[in-house]
Amino acid sequence: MKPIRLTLLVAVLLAACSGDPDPSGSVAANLPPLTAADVRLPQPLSGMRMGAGYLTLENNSAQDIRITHVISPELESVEMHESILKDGVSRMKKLPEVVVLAGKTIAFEPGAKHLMLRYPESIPSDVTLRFFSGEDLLLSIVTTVTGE
Amino acid sequence: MDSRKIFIVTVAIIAMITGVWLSSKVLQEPVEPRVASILPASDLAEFSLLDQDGNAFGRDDFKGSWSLLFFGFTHCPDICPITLQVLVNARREMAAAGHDDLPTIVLVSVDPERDTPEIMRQYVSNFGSDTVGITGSLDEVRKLTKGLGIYFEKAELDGDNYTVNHSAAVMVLNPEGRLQAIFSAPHSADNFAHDLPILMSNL
Repeated sequence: MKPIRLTLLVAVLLAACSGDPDPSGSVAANLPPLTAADVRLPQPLSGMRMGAGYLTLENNSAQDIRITHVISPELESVEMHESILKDGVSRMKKLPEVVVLAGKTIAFEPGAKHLMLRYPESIPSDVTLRFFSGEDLLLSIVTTVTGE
Repeated sequence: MDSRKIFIVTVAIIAMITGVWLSSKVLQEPVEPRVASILPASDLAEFSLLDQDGNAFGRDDFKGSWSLLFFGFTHCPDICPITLQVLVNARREMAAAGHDDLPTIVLVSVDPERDTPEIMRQYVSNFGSDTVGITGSLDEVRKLTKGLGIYFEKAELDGDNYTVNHSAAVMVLNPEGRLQAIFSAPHSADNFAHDLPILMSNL
């Protein structure tokens, strides 16, 4: 019986450590509401200061998350853009906001939604990306500019 | 030889002849392009632009090799480098398959206001020494694009920032510098590597 009692004790302690149910309505326990995966910042082409950023954002909460802007202290600007191919014409539009639906993911990828990054003359090796909803900081990540 | 054996031998001979005929028929079947639209060859309009080294570049400068024309701009961080890389990869696939006659990749700027020859030189250097960048006055760019049915238009983003919407097709010019085929977007290196040798050997 001792091993069973021990298991129960560990389970009770873990439950106690996890605290109250997440007030943000997190679907996945112990995860922040917004997380990023597969972040890629290809180095701008030689001589260029414009670059693209790609990643997947996951909403781990039970509420939709509205991203209104992205800021980076190392970059001159970050904008959310979307490339659209329609009727044989390639268009790029600036997105005023991106909504990640509750429990869903949204991909920023080549030829679709992407981050448009304006680099300073000296390309930093690491870049911080801070995702905001209005004044609320949703997510801050640091990623390396790759040599792709 | 009894009649049964004669029948079997006859059937075997007919089957063999049919097989040889069918296989020769299949082998002779022309291989069709997957996506390229082949056109009756047509001349380009006269235009006067500059290459990435600042040298004059007109329609006669397309003569001598096959060319792949893509219309884009250097402030485009997504579609333009992706498309140029597709063309570079297609050239590599063709070279790996043993093709010696490789097309020249030509980026025509639809944003000549920002794309000086110097900026074009830096930009196209990212795509190998066989990639050419041409730019110049807006009027001269329009002379070239209008004749090819290429659309482009400046679109404001915010403040004094802008982008350029543009046709995503890749135009194929033959070694006489005449329009010969069009690849419509979306593009893939495999499709170029498949279709270009067919175009280049049959025309």
